[in-house]
Amino acid sequence: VLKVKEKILLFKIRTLRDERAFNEIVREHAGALQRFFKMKLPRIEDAEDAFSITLFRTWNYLTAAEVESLSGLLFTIARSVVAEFYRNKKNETVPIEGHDQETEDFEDSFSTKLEVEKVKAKILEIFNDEEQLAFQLRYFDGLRVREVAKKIQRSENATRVLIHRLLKKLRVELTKKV
Amino acid sequence: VTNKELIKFLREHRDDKVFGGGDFDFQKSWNKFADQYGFEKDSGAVKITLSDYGAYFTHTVSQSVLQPAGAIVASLVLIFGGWVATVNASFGSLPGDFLYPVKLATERVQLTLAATSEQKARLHTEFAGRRLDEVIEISSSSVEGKVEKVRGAVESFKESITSATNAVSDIATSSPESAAAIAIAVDQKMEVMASVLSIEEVNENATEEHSEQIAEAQSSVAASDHSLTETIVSSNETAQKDSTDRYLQDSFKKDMLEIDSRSAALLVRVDNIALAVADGRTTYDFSKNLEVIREVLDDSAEQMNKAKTYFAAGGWRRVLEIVTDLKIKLTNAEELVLDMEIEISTGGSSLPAHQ
Repeated sequence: VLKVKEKILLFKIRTLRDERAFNEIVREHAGALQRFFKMKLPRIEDAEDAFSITLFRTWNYLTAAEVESLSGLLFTIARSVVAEFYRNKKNETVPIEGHDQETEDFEDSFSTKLEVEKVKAKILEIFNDEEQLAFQLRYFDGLRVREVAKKIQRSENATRVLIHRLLKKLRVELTKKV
Repeated sequence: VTNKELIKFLREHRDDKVFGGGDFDFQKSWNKFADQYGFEKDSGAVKITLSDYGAYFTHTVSQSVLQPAGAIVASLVLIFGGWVATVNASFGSLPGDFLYPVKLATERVQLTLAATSEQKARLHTEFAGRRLDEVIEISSSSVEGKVEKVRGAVESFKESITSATNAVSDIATSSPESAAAIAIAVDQKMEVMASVLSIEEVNENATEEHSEQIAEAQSSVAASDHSLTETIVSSNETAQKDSTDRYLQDSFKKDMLEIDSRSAALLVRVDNIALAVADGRTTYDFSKNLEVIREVLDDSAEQMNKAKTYFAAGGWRRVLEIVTDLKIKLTNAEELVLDMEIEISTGGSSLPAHQ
């Protein structure tokens, strides 16, 4: 259920096309969205472009229709933008492993870096889009299960089970390789 | 590795750039977005004032209480007041008729009572069909203020088409799986409307203004058709089904046949123009325009071969892209050819140079 402030901001967006209200309302979700794009897309610039496209499509939606779950809508659009990116790039060579330039700045030890990249590669390999999002929101963005459930538009119980199953799956996969 | 250890590892590395962590400057990202899409950059905190609360609650009350209450009261009046017959009688009314407002009011009540986007999409499509019937009926009559009435009906037709397409887009966002079925149903009705419009297009008695209005209605239908096909393709990508595959196959087959026949007709017209130039029937230099159109036709043939390959492999998204692109190019080429034909037949000098 949307909070009253959020409902009023959405109302201002829909009826007055209030850009400042839109800024305010997406600010809360922007961090998780950015992380989602950085995890899924090859370059920082791609993540930034995807972020802008997502905001624009969300704006178009919010000015035309009422929504029941803003975070659900944002992440549904974000997932479609990522899918579109790979569809458009399918004939080009896209480096799918992390942000090369960025990873050079790591101060972590070599072995930790390897572990981190291995875990990320495994997450991208064994989880589908929705699972990756749920996992990211829970363990990287540190959201409560209830908040994750809202963003992926599932019930709290189903989300709790999903997250538990994902953690177990990842652990088993990582252990298998070791 | 235990679950606890894995969770600890993930939390320790949550800010790692590999996991998409690191500094995130919302304002910087917002400014970039604002630059790209023309939004306001300076975005200080929004203050929600008492009047905002007032406006919001007034709106909520009117939406949740007054509108349904109004609809219920209207329904009761219609049912118990013996107005059913009036409503039935109003179905055949036309803009300007005494009962026409009753027809529109009934439609608005139906829309208000529609609980889902699917019902709304179906209703808007149904109403678009009614507006089209009105357009045809008025244009073949001799009623007073005919031009204005046709214009009004065409505008309403376009609004209904857009509303139907928007309702389908709403479903596509919330439930991609069920969007395909409704998109197909709406698209099939649009196809019937497109046929009616194409018959009206060649009506010899039509005035120039009427022809323009029919052309506007046709482009609305074409835009909706593209949007609906896009929805069906996206749905097919999400959950591939035999029904959507079959539908896309039929739909693109028709599109490709249409492009083939338009290209063939265009080629004949281009050859005729070249012949007229060779015979000295015009003094205008058409060489550049003819060259451009021949390039379009060559490119069209090449793209069609690609489209056929993607079609055979079920690559619907690529087929849609190619078909859409070719239709636009052919329309532009046809306009250019028409300009040249007019130039030759009238011997005028108003032909615009090729851009």
